[in-house]
Amino acid sequence: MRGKYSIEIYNNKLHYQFEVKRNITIIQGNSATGKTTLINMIADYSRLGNSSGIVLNCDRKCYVLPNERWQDFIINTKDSIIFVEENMPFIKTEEFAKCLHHSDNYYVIVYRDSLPQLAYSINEIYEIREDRESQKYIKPNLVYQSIYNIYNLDTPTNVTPDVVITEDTNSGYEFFDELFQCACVSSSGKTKMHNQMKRYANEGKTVLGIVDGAAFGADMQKMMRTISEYKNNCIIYAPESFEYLLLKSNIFNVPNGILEETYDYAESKIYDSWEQFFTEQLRSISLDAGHNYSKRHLDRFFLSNRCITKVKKLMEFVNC
Amino acid sequence: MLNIIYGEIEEQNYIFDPDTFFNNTYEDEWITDKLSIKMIKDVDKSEVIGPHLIESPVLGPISQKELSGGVKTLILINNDLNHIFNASACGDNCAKWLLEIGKVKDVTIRLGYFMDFGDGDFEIIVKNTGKLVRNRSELDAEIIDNNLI
Repeated sequence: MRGKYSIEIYNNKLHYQFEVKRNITIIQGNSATGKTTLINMIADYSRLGNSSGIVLNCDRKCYVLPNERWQDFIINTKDSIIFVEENMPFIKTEEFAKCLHHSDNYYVIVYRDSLPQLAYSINEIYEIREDRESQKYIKPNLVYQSIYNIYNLDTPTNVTPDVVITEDTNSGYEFFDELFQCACVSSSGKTKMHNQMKRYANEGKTVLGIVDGAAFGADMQKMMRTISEYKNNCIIYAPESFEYLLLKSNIFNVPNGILEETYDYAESKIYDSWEQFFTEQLRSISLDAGHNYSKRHLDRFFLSNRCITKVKKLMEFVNC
Repeated sequence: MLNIIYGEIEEQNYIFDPDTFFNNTYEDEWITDKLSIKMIKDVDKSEVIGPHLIESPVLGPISQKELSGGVKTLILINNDLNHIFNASACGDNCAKWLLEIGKVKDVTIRLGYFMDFGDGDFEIIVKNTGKLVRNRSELDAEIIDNNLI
């Protein structure tokens, strides 16, 4: 499945409107914001259609994942948006992750705990809030709800790091090590990023952490808590991925849609996350231009002045 | 005292889904209890009319089974001391009530996320390590340094 889908669902009291555009969307946030009510409305509509009294407008079928025989449900459902409620005991299991792997559906998961077995983006973690703007001009008796990003990472400004830490071990690390004059360290994986950042921040150093936003969702709570402890000297930079940066930097001619409307290109059945999609795009586009891109080892071409300068332009907020 | 077990637990008396457990075990007097009335007002913005009727500003008259999962969990934690409840069913807006309950009762809950207990001082025992923490910074460090979640 690919594409961006608007979901509008309402009854005579509540109105929800939001978009989903990747394999996995996570909804968290305060209690009593209407998460369970949303799921119940989807379930009622899915069971009874228009005779439920609920109106659902969406270009794809919407379902709620049942507790029993959920594996069969996933296998037998295609091109649909499947909502998963937090009281499903299997959400954290490897079996659930396996079922979502290369699935032909999008999933909206209501869950506050992090889900490290799933690759989800920091940009697809939301909370439900009342949309007070809508209140002004539509039906006054309805409460309008929408979803809002929990993590709004502002682009950092004027950062002079003492240490740069990358979650990438090989190619990404090799590149940033060349780009930055200061020390560059690999954390050897996303789960160790916060510990590395904390270690250097504790030494009084200004630390810039570079992570792949497209798959860092599960580690974001921990990272934000680490950053909040060291407000002035821990900065996080989270582009979609290292490969996205290279594609975005105009080193190659990249069709605009791939970067701006990725949801129309990244097929969920093939790519678990946009990080994988951008990696494949970079590999393929660079091959056409006569260069090999591999995650394991960076071709010398990417370490050339031309490439470094182009990526530096995208990272003008850093004094390299 | 508020005791928190972070991460996954397998205790026999652990309740993963407090919402469903509440629907099948609540007592009428739990709803009309003074603290419950305050918690329902604060978290769900709803008024307790009686043990079987709540007035919600959005949904109108509702039953106790239609309270939020967060407030149901708070009511269980305050009234059923025989079980350990999954407080991941509670959002950050339940944190102050967990601290309130912990001031007068010895309760143990399970958490799987970084609930925000606010900027003020508090007392929480992190059961995984046995450490008493007194503010958010100490709590975060205890969770992160010991890789509890």
